[in-house]
Amino acid sequence: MSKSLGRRDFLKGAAAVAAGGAAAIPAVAAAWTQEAAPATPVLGPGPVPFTLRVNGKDHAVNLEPRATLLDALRGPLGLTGPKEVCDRGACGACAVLLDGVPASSCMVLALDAEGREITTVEGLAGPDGKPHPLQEAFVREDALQCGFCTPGMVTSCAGLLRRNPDPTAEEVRDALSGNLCRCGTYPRIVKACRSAAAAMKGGR
Amino acid sequence: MAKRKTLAGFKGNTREMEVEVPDGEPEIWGADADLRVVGAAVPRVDGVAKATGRAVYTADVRLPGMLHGRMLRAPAAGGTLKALDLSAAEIAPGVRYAKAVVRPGVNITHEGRDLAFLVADTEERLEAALALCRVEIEPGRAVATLEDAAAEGAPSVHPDRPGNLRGAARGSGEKGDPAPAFEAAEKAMEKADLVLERVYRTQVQVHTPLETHGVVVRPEEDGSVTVWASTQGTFSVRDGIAGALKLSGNRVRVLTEHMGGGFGCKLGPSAPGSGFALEAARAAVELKAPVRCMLERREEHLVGGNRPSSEQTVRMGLKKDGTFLAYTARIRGTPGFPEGGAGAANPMIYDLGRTAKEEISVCTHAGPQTAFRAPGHPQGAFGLESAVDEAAEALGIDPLDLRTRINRSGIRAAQFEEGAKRIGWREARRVKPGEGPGPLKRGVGVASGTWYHTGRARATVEITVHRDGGVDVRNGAQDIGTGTRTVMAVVAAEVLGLEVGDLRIHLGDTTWPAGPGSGGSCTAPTLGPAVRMAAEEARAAILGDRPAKDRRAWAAACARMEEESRTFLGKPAAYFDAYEGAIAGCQFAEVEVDVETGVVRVIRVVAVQDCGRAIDRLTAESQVIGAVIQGISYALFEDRRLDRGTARLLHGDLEGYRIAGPRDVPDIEAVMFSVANAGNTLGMSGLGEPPAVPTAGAIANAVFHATGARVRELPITPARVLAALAEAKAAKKGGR
Repeated sequence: MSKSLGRRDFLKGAAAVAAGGAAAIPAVAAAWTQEAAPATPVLGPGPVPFTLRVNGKDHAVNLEPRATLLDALRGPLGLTGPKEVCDRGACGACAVLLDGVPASSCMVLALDAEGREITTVEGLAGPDGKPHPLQEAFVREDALQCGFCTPGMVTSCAGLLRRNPDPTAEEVRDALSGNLCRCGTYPRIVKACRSAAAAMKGGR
Repeated sequence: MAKRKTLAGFKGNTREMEVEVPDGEPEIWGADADLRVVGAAVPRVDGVAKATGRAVYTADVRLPGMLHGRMLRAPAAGGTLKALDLSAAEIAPGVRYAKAVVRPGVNITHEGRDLAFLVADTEERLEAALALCRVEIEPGRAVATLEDAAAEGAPSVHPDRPGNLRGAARGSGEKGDPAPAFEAAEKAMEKADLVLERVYRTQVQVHTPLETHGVVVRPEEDGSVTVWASTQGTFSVRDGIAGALKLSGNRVRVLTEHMGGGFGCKLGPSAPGSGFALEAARAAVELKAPVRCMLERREEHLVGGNRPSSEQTVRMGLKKDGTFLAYTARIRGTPGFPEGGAGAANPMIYDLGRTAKEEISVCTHAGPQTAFRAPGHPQGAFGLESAVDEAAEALGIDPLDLRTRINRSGIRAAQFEEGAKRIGWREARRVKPGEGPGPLKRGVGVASGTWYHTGRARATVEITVHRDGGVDVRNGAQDIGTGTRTVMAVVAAEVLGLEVGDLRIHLGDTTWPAGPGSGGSCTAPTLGPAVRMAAEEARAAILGDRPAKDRRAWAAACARMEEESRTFLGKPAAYFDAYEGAIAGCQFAEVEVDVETGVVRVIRVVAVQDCGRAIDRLTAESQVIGAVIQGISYALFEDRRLDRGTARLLHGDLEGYRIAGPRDVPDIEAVMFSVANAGNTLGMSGLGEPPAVPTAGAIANAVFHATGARVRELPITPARVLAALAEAKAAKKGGR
């Protein structure tokens, strides 16, 4: 039993993954093959201090390793734009941009988001507080009703426009296929996203 | 009361009506009213707050020292509670409160039944403590389906009241025994050229608001409490919590600035199948600390309410020319554990000759039915509109022509024409059912819906005008995402000669004048006329005989006020006769069915909807589009399933319980069919529910047109389509 991989050894390896980034795969392999403990300290189960870079600012947090990025954002950081709806990666209400790519923040451990550029719906507006063209388009087209899915929808659209500045309606629907809305705003979201794309191309 | 004349009706069909109007009411905005802001496309006034993530919902409220509460729920259905031991949880780290809310011996009517309420300092510790509670249940048999619950010898959901059938004596429009009406209808059917009997079934649908039910309760120094609630009824939460805490209502302040969807399930103080909010309030007061309790997604499915299932056995007798001689419907449905409420609005709308109806609720070991966007109607319309379609097919009459023949509403007649033109009905129906080219077959179908004028004289709106020209409009009711705030702003702006952005609309605070719960599509038509009345008072007092021209004229007049501010109240005394007694709507759907896989795709929906006068075109259209999407979701995907043996929920998430996503939704044409209906001084109606009624029926009929196979059960899954196709093929071979 002592020679097989224990949970503790695995956690050490996982910690190395978190810290190692590109060295992830060798670190895991090492945990499987070496009996000697790696130098990386064990993290958790108590709170761990680390830094999250959110909307262009560094925030020191002290959280249990099991805390999700969504917990971190909505709790200590007070950013309640991303919503908790399904808490299982099925609805997109908690979407944030991780290095510019949409991700469900309920499915990402806060610790794993260290060192990455996190953008929430609050961070999309300009520095002067002027709403993002997408946000303006959502209001103009009435692409929202109760508004609970809206932050996730806006964020997913923002991720799409970063990689595709001129999406077709079909491409918008594809990009939003991980986002659910119960009020039924989808058709107007597609319109708003394309309208924002046009506005942004026009140099806004 | 005074008699007033007004022009009522719709484009090309107006008539002068004389209505009794209480004294003090402003002029009625008739069909010929010349309005500046009303009817335009106005972006919703809280849109920016929502799109930027700044809007604060109950789920977002974070208070210093806030604790977390959750209900311990029955892990099984059926049987009785033998023991409940909270002692290990009580001493677990961070636990501040653990109290049983039932006693041993209690009947476990449904999985998720409230057992005990726990409070801890973090959500993680709360979860750990819940796992330490020991629940012992003496197992009993549970019934999950209508068939099982209605069967001879089935275990009773309420053992002290044997049997699971309730309300057998309730007939349509008749008091008491429906048997005579059925006898008369059967007699009338003897003269029929065609008698058809068909059974239609619909599933249980869960509201699935994205923000779950929830509250944050903060006890105040002075013994009062402040409650943030995700609710459709701020005042019902106030009254419920005041009752639980034995406080007068004015010592409970309920706040709902924004809320994340309700659709009928958030009208009570807690949730339909749970008393969590009252327990959270009790705990908060005892602990002298704020307590937050938002339901988890699985709890929402278990106790958050649902649309009951239905089984509709329809018999109809017709003459060859399409005249209905009689139509009867025996409805059974599962309300879960409540002893009633599983009806279906079938028959409705049409002239069907002699009608008879009985409604029986069949209790199951499941969470409760509750109001859900047009209660009884989407399921009833699916049954009725499928039946009418089948009659048309059997008689060789075009389904739209048959409907036109039995239609009783002048508004709907015009809507049928409008919708048929837009969907291309005549062209599409040239292809006989099932005879289009495959394997992707197209078809079009139609269905109707009705709803009621539900505005009531039961709200007061307060308008405060400040010397600097600022205007505050206040009512204690809530905007549940329908656009109530915007409607109120539009009405006030129209009267005062201002722009929508000039006004501040305050909703969702029970310290302001009382307003309605948002049920029955009543909020806007209740508050709208009250805003108008208050605004007219303000205009008369501030502007006198000068016209309400613009912002400058208004500001100049306000600057002459002696007081710092003046307050005006609007409280309509009564609502009056409408142009037609009910709201009409119809929808046309075009679908594409893959006859090899059975997959149905909705290609297009045209929704022609009477909305009275649309106050804000933009939010009104959104309501219609959203209702159609929920209808598509109901028709094709949603299905709350319980394990048949144990009556336990098979899915507590948004993957197993599938709702329509962005790729399931076609472009939807919302045709706002404005009718000046004279029921109130704005001529407006509610719009939340009416467009939610026809969609599933229209889709089912389009599926038949595409395939020649009738699916009589919702949701219309690929398996059901393939089964219907096989059945149709067999019937053809059999020489029918």
